[in-house]
Amino acid sequence: MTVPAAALDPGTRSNRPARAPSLSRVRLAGVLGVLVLWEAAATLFARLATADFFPHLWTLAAAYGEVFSSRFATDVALTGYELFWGLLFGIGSGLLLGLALGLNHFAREIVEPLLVYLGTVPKIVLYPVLLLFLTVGVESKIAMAALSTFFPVVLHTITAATEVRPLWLSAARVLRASALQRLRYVYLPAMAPSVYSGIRLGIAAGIIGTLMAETKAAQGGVGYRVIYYYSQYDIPEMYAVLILVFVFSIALASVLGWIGRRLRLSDSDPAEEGALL
Amino acid sequence: MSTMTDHRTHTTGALVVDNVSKSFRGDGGLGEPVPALGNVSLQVDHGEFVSLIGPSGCGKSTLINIAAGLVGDYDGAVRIHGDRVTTPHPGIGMVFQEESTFPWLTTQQNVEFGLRMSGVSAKERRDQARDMIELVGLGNAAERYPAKLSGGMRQRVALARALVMEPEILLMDEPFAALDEQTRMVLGEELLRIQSKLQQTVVFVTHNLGEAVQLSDRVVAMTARPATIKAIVEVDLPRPRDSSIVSSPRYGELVAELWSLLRDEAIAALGERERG
Repeated sequence: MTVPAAALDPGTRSNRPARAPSLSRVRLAGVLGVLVLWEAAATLFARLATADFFPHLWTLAAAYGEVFSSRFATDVALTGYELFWGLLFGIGSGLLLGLALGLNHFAREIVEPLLVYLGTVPKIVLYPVLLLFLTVGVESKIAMAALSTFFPVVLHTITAATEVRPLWLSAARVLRASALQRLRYVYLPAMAPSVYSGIRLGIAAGIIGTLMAETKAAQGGVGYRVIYYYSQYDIPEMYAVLILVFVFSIALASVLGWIGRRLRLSDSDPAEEGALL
Repeated sequence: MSTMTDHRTHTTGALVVDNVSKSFRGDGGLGEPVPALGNVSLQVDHGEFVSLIGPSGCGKSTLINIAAGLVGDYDGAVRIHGDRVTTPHPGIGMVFQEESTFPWLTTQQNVEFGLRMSGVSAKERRDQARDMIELVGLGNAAERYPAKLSGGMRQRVALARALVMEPEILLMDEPFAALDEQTRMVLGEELLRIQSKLQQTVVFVTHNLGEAVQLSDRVVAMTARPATIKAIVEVDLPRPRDSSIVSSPRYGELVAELWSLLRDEAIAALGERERG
């Protein structure tokens, strides 16, 4: 996470030697490299064993025709619906409980350790319980997404509230800020960076939880579609959907990173963001 | 030279401390009350620069926090214009011991903070803040965030943020304690320049004897816990002063006088801390 200060300064970047490749070219080369490697592996596997595991790129491209002509749009809509409500409930409840615990020292001492331990449990092991109570429909996926999202959000919000230095509040009081103004102009901006990274992690966990639940027991959705193609041994189609999931994840991470930088919630460099993807 | 009670008339005092005591309870409010301040009386005149010195942990900061209105529950009275202070008084500005600048705001925005809370228009507060930033010598760092400033520059921001509110009384709680000696000397000099320009009343807490002598009209020496006033030393060095006064014989005499007053207290405070 640590980057030398010089690397963060846009001024120094232009001072680099002109022949140094730009970041976007390196990325493009990386993508091309993966494609070449993939094709090489596909050729090798076709020679040695079977072409099924690593379909050729053209087979993969053709598979998108099959995927898009199926009910794939319905699956995307279903997963989107589950994610929307799951993230909403997870982030909302995480923020509320996190704030309540962050501002109440006594309650935090009791509840926070529990949350930390529960947070480390893979939420998917609770999926059978959710199925039991909420059936195999969208409700169990929404619950799964909410549960996965809740923990990073609540833990980061608690941390954020405890990071508000009493000295800032004292300074604001002497500068005639009312209680409401201190909430708006001290608590909110002081907590925002930690809460933001909690929400970011929560969204990632929510997506993982939802797709995982869909692969276990579902009647539709993107995760269900992946496992369906696998069970039909439609390997190119399976890869095709997986690649779409990757692309979506990368796009979402970029958008969230961009929002964070615009709002000055994370001081990470665009190059560093790229390195994480 | 030293008096426990101030003989000046109470009507002229900018800040009147009248028999103030304060105890804290340890162990999260469940322990025995520990007295921090015991019957402190003091009067600070308009435009006067008064320093409070004493052994560390003696309760100097408690007194200044009471005066700032940050500690509402105490015995006796701190009065500004006759009003007993229990919440921050509009006539008070404060510079804190530790880092108190808001890291999410630029220098400019930090200095504008108080004006913004008071509903001053955007243009007016921008101009006022800019003038004050120039006055504390941060003209070229107005758009920088605190993380990109040195410790000394951040304390300048904190000073400008307090001064822009035009407080009658400026309370400073060991504002230069975390700075290196050279930065401290330069900032002390700047503070003298600014104070003589703005005619502020200043109450300055420090544990640095030389700093107290360099800056003050009077130095209040306090005892170990519970803090009471041991003696008040008039600093008869001519004004305007700059950091060169540290080489004058009178400066050395005054520092030595303060040390002789504080030596026993410092040892007592140290012993108390070592006993736990």
